[in-house]
Amino acid sequence: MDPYAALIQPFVEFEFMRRALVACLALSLGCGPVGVLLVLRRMSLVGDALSHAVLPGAAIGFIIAGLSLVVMSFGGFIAGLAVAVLSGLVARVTPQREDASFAAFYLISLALGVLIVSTRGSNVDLMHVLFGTILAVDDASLQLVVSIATLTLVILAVIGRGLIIECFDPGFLRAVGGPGAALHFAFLMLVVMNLVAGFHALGTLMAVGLMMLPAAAARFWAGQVATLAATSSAIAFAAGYAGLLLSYHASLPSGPAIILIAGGIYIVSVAAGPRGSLRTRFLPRRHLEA
Amino acid sequence: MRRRIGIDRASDEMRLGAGISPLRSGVVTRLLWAGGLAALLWTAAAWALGWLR
Repeated sequence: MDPYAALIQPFVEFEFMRRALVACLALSLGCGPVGVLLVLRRMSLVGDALSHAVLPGAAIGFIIAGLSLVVMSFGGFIAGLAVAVLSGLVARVTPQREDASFAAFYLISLALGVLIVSTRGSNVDLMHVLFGTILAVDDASLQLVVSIATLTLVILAVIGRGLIIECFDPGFLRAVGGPGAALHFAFLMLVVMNLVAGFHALGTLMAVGLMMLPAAAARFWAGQVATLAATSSAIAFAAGYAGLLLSYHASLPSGPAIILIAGGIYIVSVAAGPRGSLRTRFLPRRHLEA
Repeated sequence: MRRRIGIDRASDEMRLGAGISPLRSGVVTRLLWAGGLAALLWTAAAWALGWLR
């Protein structure tokens, strides 16, 4: 097949492919750095939990206003934030650790969301909320996703250094008067915001995929936070582009195709990346040889 | 470790001595990067939404 027809023409010819590609670019720029910070803060599974926590809010929004983008997004944002705050609260006022309280609240949230959608909506609606439809991203959805990515970039530019210092040296952050709790809360808000953006495209079940898989893969290619974030965004966009093409040419569902390509990049990174991969461990290069 | 991930505590302490908060260090550069990426993203969005026609 002609390379132009295979790699570029679908995006030139079809508006829905262009929208999906730009949605992938926006998600990559927003989710890439946020995912890296989640990995560095050892909160990878918290991202997954929060992505499921968005569901009941989106479902209530759906019951109130049908498939309304703004109402479902707002509901999802409130629900995700509520789970983050409640989990943090339980972890602070009881002996239970935050991972356990997150697991408890996200399971309650997930069950509640599925219950609401399945009793008041059809199976098609449930599938839409759970799996998303990146090829059906309309003008309003695209503008929302791009706005969230823009806001994420600006917020990270302002508080990013504090977040990184909090990851590696919380004692120093306290010593210089850094607002550790406020930074943590702002970071959770960023995570929820990006998951709400991702859920329109990939659904609540896979929204976290473009956040965590590229960030986890980037760990095998880069060592500094800025390069990790750039690598993570680049991997996320490459997965989005390749996944869209795969779904277009092979008539596959686009969301799983994108996440599976990101998964493939992760496996290749684990096997052959230049930093701490299986290759560097079991097939080290010769050095100091006379 | 801090140097390896791009944050150097000695530099931060020197900035503190000069009255610059380590939390705000480099914020203008980061905002410029964020602005540039946002401009790129909105240009791509304008292309996808048909605003450039």
